[in-house]
Amino acid sequence: MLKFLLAVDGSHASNKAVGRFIQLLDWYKETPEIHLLNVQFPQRGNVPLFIDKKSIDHYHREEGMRDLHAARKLLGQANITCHIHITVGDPAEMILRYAQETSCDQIIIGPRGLGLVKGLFLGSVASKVMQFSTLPVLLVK
Amino acid sequence: MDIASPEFWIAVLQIIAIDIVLGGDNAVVIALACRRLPERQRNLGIFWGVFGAIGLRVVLIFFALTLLTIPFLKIIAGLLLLWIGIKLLQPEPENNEHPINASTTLFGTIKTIVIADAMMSLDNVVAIAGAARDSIGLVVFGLLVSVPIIVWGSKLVMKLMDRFPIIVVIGAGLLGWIAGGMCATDVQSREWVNANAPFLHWLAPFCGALLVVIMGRWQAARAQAKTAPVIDLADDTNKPL
Repeated sequence: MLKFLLAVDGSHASNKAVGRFIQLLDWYKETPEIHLLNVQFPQRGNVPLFIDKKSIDHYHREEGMRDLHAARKLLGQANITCHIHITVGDPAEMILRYAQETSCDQIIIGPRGLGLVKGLFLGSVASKVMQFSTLPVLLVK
Repeated sequence: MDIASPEFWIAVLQIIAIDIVLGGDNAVVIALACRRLPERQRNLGIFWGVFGAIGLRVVLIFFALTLLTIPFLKIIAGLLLLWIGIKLLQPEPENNEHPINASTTLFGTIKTIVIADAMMSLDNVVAIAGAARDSIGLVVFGLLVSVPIIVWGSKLVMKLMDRFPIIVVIGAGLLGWIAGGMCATDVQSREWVNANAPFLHWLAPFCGALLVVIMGRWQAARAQAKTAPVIDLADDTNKPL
């Protein structure tokens, strides 16, 4: 079975991409194995100095679950089983590393929908993933 | 300092930047420390934690301006700022099993918050005092700006820094800049600098900024090189929601 990594951040644009991807699933002979991945930004500065790792991880997991919620619901409504994953780090880097380490066949990602100007300055996660990925990337518009 | 002078407005911008990079995480620490408390205690804990963070800044600022006229203390404060700046650039460590853990008891939480408030207030106050260059008005301004950031803006500020990591680098460089300036204007060093090496007034801040950014980046790269595995916090199959 094909193994797909679906990266989501809980934003409206990302949820919309999940919905679109579900519609595209007819493309495949059999429903691929879908792994939802959410990447949380690490805590910075003094925070890790005063808060222990377990509490920070707990917080990341809660926030990650919230970001995954809409995507899980959409997939659930379409009767598609999926696996969920949350990790911490630079989003684009972690998506690429995760896909590689768990040997996914394809990365699926939505655009962030920031508009042209902001997108240019920010260099969105999606464009970074596409630029550096060694795996096929599907950008769902 | 004159309101019309460019130095005044540069100092204002510096103070705002300092409050942004040094104020946000204080509120985050308070919020995270209180998370495991029962609901009622949690709100109390957050309220008093924030109150303490602001109160300590007021008290410390009051002392800081007098203390900084003592010989050599500005140099020490400058060195402290260099360290704070380098620390600012470090990523979240892989394991930080330290004694100050977020316990579920009220007492443990209070201890964490008090220590965190004290340390971060000191960081913030030293930086503001350095940027304000002996102007009481600017110090008070710095204090006023930090209050809304701690009370309401922490989440926004942290998000801003996540999206634009360059802000953190600029902030850290700014701390180094101020540190260099403080070393050149200490009661002891000022006269010597004015007489023998007036160029140090801009060279010292420049070197300070450069030192913080290079050292911070280098340390961060070294820490990151060691962390290999991707940690999955929720390896799970979906259950119906």
